[in-house]
Amino acid sequence: MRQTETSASPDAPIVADDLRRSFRKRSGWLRSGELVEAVRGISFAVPRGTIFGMLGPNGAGKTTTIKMLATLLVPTSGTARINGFDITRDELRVRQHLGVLFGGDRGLYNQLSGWENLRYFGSLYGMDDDAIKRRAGMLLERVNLTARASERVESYSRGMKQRLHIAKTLLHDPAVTILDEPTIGLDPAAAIEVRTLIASLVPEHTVLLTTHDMHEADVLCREIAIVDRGLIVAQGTPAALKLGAKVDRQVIITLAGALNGKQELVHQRLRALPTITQVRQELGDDGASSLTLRCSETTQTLDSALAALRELEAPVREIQVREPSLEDAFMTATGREFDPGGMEVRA
Amino acid sequence: MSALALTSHRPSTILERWRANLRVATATARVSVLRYASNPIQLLRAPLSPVLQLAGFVIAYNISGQTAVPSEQVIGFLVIGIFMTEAWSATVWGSGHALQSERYLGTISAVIAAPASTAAVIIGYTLGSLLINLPSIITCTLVAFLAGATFTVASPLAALIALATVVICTFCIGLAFGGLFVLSKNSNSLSNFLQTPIYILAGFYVPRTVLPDWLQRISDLIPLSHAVDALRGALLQGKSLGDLSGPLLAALGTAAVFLVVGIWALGKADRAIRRSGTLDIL
Repeated sequence: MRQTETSASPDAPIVADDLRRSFRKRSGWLRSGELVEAVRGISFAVPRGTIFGMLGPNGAGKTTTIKMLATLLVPTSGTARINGFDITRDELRVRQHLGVLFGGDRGLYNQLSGWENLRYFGSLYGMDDDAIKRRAGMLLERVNLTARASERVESYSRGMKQRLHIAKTLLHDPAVTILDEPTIGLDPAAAIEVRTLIASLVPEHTVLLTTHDMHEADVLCREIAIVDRGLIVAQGTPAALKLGAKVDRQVIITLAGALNGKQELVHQRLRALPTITQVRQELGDDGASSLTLRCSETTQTLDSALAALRELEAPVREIQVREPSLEDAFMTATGREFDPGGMEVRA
Repeated sequence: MSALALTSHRPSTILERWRANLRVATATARVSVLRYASNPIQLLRAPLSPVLQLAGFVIAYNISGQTAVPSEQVIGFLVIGIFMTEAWSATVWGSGHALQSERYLGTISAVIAAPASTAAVIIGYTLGSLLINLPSIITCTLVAFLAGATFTVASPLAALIALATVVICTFCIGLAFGGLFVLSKNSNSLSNFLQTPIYILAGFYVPRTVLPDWLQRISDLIPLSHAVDALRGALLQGKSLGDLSGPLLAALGTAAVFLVVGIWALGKADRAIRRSGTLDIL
């Protein structure tokens, strides 16, 4: 695994240490199925009050990992602690200190109102009626569902259901929350609402977020573990992961017209700049030239290139800067392109 | 409010634990009733179905020329059988169907991931089903009275204790099968499968005395068999508490075995399901 900067200590609210989980695929009543290793030794620690992302395609092992952390699945080997409590030895304490949002729009009683759902789940966490009323009222306000709280959940949109899920997860005020694919299937507007809510959970709560949405991981997480085929293949802050991506940075400059004889001179000047490794020129349908500059660093390249073009009286129409993305980081770590659909190996 | 203000409280004494479990069971029962009440067709079907069932059995008894049950006690005998059916349904259908429904809705992971006792949740399903079946029982009893059912109650206390014994047996059996339902991916089918044999084995619609000997031995192992004997003794034959001590003790004794086995099996099922990872698989 390529590890970039991390800041978690072993006594962090979420600590996973070499978690492994295998399943035997069923292939009939008598035949013993093939052994599948869904999680093959995952270790990480999440600092208090931060959002930690597990990013990977379907079947990467994210859900299996969170099921183990939520005490719903016993690891084949390895250990983990939630707020200091061991997931296999002190599962009751783990459950008290943990709120889990399981992905999708299921997981709620559709025939009951939003309020009744919260009331029931609160009672499962040992909360009395006063505590449930106080807390549910506050959370319904926070997730913007107060006006619809007495309506049946079956009438809710997917985004509203997901916001109710978040309220349900936070009801007993857990120190640690795990959110499994919280924006899956949401339309862009609803996804933005849910992301805003998630961002507001810190620093009060420590959040483990699983997602296959690169943008979501990028904007929400202080640290990301890229998971693939049951392993963490890279880990670090989004910036550090992108920085470590082995792809060229590119500055694409579209000129206002053709270079008209200055072509060689422009190429010469640009190639001479220390940060540029390659210059490629294309001619657009409108006759304007487009220069793609591959470089090791974009800011200085852009400054120097624009200065050179100004000097050569080549007017600029458009500038595009392409920095490495988390997709690039995934590709660097795994050697293949990111496919959110991935391979289906579900616990 | 600090993050741990709500989560750090954990029932420490036995009394606190009982109170917490009772709250979970009643909350689960409440949710079951509310969900059931949201379906108007069910609300209409529930009181009608047992009345029709009772009518069918009364006709069958009348045309059969049987002598096992005195003719003046037939309706009373059968209405108690219907009551037992509703209690038994609350047990198996209640917990089996409820768990299947939790799987279907995707709520089972959230329920099991909570720190509440799974046993308390399952008892809540049974309690909810009993409450749901209450209108059926009341309607059926009223119809039975109108149809000329006669009851001979010499000791109301004995009748109440027999009734309480039925409820206790119901909860204990519900718990005993709870583990099986947690493990099964088809708890609905399993509960349907378990439902019918008990009608005969526990003597809901025919006296146990008419069963072959070997079936009566099996019947003796079922708490509800003794509970129904006690209830019929108290309500139809005017027996006293002393007269009923045998079937009552047998009912409570076998129920205690079911309770112990149930709690043990539920613990085992909980661990097994977390090992296999099949909790939320339909």
